[in-house]
Amino acid sequence: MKKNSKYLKLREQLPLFCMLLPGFLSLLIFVYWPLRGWAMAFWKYTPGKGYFSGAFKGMEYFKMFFTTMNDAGTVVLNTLSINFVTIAINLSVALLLAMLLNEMKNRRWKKVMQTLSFFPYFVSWSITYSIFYAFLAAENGAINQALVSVGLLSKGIDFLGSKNYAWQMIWLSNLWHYVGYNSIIFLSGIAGIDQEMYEAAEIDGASRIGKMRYITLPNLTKTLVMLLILNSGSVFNSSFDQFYMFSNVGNMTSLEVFDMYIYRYGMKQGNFSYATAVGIVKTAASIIMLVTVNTVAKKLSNTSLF
Amino acid sequence: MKKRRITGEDIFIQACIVLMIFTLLFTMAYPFYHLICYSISDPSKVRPGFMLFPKGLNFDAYTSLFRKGGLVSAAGISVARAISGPALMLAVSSMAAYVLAKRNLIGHKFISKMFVFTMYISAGMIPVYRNIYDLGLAHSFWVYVLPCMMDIFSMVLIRTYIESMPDGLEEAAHVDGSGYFRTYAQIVMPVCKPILATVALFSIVAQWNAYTDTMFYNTSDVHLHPLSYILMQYMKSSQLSMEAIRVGAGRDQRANAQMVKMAITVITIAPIMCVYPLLQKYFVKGIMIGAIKG
Repeated sequence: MKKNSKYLKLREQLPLFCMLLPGFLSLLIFVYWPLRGWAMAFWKYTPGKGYFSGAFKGMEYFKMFFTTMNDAGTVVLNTLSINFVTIAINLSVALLLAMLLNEMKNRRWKKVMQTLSFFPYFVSWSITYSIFYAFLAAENGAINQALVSVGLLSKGIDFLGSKNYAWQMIWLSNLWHYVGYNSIIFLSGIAGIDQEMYEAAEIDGASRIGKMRYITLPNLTKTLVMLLILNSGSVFNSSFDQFYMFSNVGNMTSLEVFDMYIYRYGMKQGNFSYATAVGIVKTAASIIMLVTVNTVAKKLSNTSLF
Repeated sequence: MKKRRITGEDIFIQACIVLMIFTLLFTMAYPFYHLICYSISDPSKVRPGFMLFPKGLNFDAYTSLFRKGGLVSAAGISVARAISGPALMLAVSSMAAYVLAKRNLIGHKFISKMFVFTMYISAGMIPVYRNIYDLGLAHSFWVYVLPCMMDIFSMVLIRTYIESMPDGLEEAAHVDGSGYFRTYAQIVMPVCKPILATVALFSIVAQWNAYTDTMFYNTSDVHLHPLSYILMQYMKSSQLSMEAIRVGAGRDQRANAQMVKMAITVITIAPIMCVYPLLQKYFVKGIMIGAIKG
């Protein structure tokens, strides 16, 4: 009897499973099926042959990354320093921007400013690079040129081609790209604050800065923590599009993050096995990071990703 | 409410706001204006540096780009990507969202976990790359639209929206004898229009901007290059030839090379710029929903 009802339910839901099928197959083929490629990290891989058909190498490729090549330290250091500073700069500037936008009385201007600051989010990294190039290129960049013609510099600074400025360029372009996006999230947090708090504070004679300091800011901690979790969960990821555009012969060594390193060894040099091993290290590190951040966040504020 | 006196604090905040306005205008609006001005200036008059108006008027950069050919075909590929990709993605993801919004689905918990799990796990760049070749999708248009036809983030947004709908709506349809698919297509989807618009717009922009998939899979197939890829090539070639320019070319030639780069940037960005102000509110709504969900 019970079995029968289950069968009936299944038959009744058959159309639903048919509707789920395209999405399910797509995930199977494009997300789960590639996982078998991890075998490349353990068996020597030649394109066109099976993933398991080459010589068994065990952990050799992993050892290479950590000891023989000795690149693990540099790659991890580059990835983490670039990303953590990005998170710090992006979130604090976005918070400031949101609070200032909130203080604007003229709604029309507020809207215009919000629209402006959000636009770079939709601009591709190649266009972003093109803009940076127009302003910061050593020879033709508008800013360099202006500094030279005023006499502050004798020769343009090579911001985009020098490894001394590589990190700064990534931080700056990230800020430009994401500040509007993040500030919208903060603004929606501000919109959720109970207006009565402000009114009560006004009656008590609080100043504008006082209200910002003691009402707006504390109420945004939850949003801030949420953004921190979201961002630190992906701290081992870098936008490949961005790094590919900004890196060149001059600054390559400073921009060697996980994704660029994997690209260089895998796609450029065709050393698929080694690149896959590095990719697995990155995934493992990401998962550890994600779980850690999630546990800490749960303890601190009951916000959770999963 | 009595009128407050203007205090020193008000002046300070106002000053900060004015400072912010100028910073935003200079960093977020002026660069685009600068590119447009520069690209339509006269190459013999233009000097690197800030400009408020185009110096002279000259469309050589644009005509030389079009004369070189390939640009129209590239624009065609970009448009084709930006229409077919999101359309397919919407169909597949919204169906999945509709089904996964039903809590009484057999095996709901497991299936749902399997979907959402893909947000956090990826085989990584190289295995995914090899997989596309194994499947024989490289060197074809399909590689642009098929791998992203199931977008989990969009699915979650649509599902949240469906879950917030009143139950009565669907029940009424079922009483009338409407099957699942018809209910989905005729009752649920029309109600979901706002969220579908948001999700579609994000996907359109992503398709328009993408260039890495072309770089990985279709480098040798020139007829499959989209605009964004052509722009990337121009910007990258500038890095290689920077030395050559520094050594050899005269000022006019240099200005010219610079202008062509700016012109192709303007061409690539123009459609987004035109559409963006009209659709901005959908983007904002999408981010807010996403933020609450996330």
